[in-house]
Amino acid sequence: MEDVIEVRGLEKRFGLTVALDGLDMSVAAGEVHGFLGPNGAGKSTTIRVLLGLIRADAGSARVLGGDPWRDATELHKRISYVPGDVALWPTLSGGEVIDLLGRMGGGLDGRRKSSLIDRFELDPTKKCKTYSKGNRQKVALIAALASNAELLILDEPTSGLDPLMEAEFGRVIREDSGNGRSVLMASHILSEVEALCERVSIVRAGKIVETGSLDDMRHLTRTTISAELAASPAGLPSLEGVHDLSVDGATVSFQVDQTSLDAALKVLASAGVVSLVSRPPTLEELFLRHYQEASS
Amino acid sequence: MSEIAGLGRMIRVILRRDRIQLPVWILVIGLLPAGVASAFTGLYPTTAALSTAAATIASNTAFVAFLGPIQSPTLGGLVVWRVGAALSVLAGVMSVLLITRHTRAEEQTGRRELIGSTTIGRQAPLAAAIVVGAAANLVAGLLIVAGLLNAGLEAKGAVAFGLAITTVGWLFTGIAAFAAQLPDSSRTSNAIGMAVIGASFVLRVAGDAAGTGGAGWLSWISPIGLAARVGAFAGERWWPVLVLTIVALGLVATASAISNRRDVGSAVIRTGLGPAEAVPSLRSPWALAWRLQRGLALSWTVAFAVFGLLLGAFAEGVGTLMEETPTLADVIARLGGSSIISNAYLAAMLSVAAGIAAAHGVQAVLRLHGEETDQHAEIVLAGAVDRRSWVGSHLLFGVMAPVVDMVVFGAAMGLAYGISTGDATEVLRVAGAAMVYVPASWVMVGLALLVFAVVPQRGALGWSALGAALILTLLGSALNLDQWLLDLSPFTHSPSVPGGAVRALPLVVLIGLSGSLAWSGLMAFGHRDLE
Repeated sequence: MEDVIEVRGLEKRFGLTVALDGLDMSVAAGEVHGFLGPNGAGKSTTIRVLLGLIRADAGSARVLGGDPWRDATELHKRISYVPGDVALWPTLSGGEVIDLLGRMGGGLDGRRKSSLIDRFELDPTKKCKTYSKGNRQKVALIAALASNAELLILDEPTSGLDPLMEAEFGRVIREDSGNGRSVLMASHILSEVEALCERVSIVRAGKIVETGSLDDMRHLTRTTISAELAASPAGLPSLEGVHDLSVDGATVSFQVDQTSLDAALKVLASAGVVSLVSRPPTLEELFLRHYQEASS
Repeated sequence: MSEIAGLGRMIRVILRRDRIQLPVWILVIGLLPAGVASAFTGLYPTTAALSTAAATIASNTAFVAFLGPIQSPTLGGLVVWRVGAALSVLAGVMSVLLITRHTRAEEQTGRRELIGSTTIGRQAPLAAAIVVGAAANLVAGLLIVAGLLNAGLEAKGAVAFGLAITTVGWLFTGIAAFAAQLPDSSRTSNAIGMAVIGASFVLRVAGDAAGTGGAGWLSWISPIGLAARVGAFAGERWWPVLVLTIVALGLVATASAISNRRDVGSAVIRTGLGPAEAVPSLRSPWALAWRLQRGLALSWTVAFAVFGLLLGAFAEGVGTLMEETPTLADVIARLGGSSIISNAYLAAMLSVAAGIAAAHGVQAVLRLHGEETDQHAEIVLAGAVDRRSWVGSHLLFGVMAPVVDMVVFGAAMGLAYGISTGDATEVLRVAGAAMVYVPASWVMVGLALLVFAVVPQRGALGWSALGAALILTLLGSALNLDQWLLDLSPFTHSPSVPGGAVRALPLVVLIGLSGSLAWSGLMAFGHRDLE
């Protein structure tokens, strides 16, 4: 399938700060793509390049087959965007902002808008200056989700939402992706990305350090194992690829690289396994590993 | 006293944030009188020269209406007459912007809430803003006194003038503190403060134009008129200083009483609900700009209409008053009759109005800067909106603002003047003359746009440029500045009409310049990163 976003070697500096340092990324049509990274890693800068709000110093970016800077106006008819920090006009009502943003973009589906306003429990008659952060977020989300756009670009879409609304947002995204809409979702809420995204790109210091489907990434990384054994597991501590080993009497727990999994299980089996729990790594563990490696 | 706990820390926060702009304001206000005194000493070196100058000025009632009567034909009297009204306005503007910036704007952005969660007392932020405002006016007053003493003027008059400016500044500080309690936006608070300053100026002009007869009392209810009544270097009176101080204290007390009772972030004027859906026409950046600018445009138009009617009503009196004075009748006849004086008066009012209309234009176009820093521009430009359309949507208001303001002001002044002379054609004549002042305002609008487009971090510099241009034009000649310096201000090049000759060249140059500035700004914005 064709990629809706294709980025190669993107670079961007702000004064002496390097925001993007050769970033590569691709998002396939119809997928929900998680864009992970801590604050300041370059997520929002990448998104602003993809929207033609800022121009990259080097590298290339294609969005929906066009140049995001040169073809900005045309492309934006097919893209909807929710910024990380939603600021709205204080004197306009929420309902007015939703309609205005929809009309200035590629159009709005009126029935879908009404249903989203109900689902997110938004009062559209309130002036934006009286909305809380969560309600401002809802206004921007409803405008984006009710649009006819092929591609949604969402920067921290659930920040400020309560858990009920967060769950509702998840349901809407899953419905959307079933209808073939592509989504790029920047976040640092890992559980949300894990629940919604098929593929993930992890960004660190302006570069992508890991990209792929969650399944692939898990295969390439460590599995967590806890086991109750009949005897002490001789040779386990010296086995290459075993990490964070803790032995408490006959109970052991450790993480093991995918390449050493077979060897480790043989050691356990030779010691006599009473019970065994094996768990694939959570996204959080994947994520933290990349960042801890960087800081150590 | 826990209400104002942490007052000292809040004061230091304000001083730190305003460490550049506050000293600039204070220095401009504080040093202007000394500058004008030294210029006048050069121009009129002897007592005789001073008296002649004063007599000439006093015979021109257009001048008198604009700047007030000369109260004493001495160096001190002339300086006070020349800069008194301007300094009152400057002190007012400084105070209003300062108070709003540190009170209502802080609440609107939510920073006040953060402060409120600390050990800082409930009333400390407002109190700190008022203390700094009061101190800034006091320091400016002290500088005025020091400057005038240094120029060799007598102490009593110098102190009286310094006090007059300080207390009128205090009064506007009180007005601003009160205005900050009413609406929930800093834009509206500032607008209330500026409207009071504008009304004070117009009431003083109207009162002085009416002379001692009928409507002369108008000048007395104006804070600026009251400050002039101190009569520095002309038999000083101290009671206006006292009145201004007491009214200022009353305003501050009212403001703090309201502030003490209301919730943080709330306002006396409450926000109602809006429509659940946008009207069908709200579908483009142009419609959005109209929505954001229309309230502002309407208030300016109403203000120009009201002030125009008021000022026009006295235009005829300015001329005839002098014909009735036997000693002046000759002078008037030689000048070409009373209509000359009326024209000079109308021209003076139009030139001031042009500066204010330019402020509206700059305000309208710098809405772009506000929209960008408020991050509204991001969601607009993430839509299918061409950058040039977005800039153009607000630039249109910047361009139209001076046109509408000046036509309305000119027509209103012409109408009131025409009613008093029984000549209906005055409406068209004065409105037409008003149009001639528009191109100079456009230059400031174009410059503000270019600065916004090229140096977004310093987008508000358009205001500084306007301030500098207005000071050059309104006070430059009194400071005896070189002509090339005065020529830097576009307002210097506006023909003096009605009455004067209109040459096409300056107007063509001004229009061409404003067009190229705006065009460059439009192009430059297309190539830069959004902040």
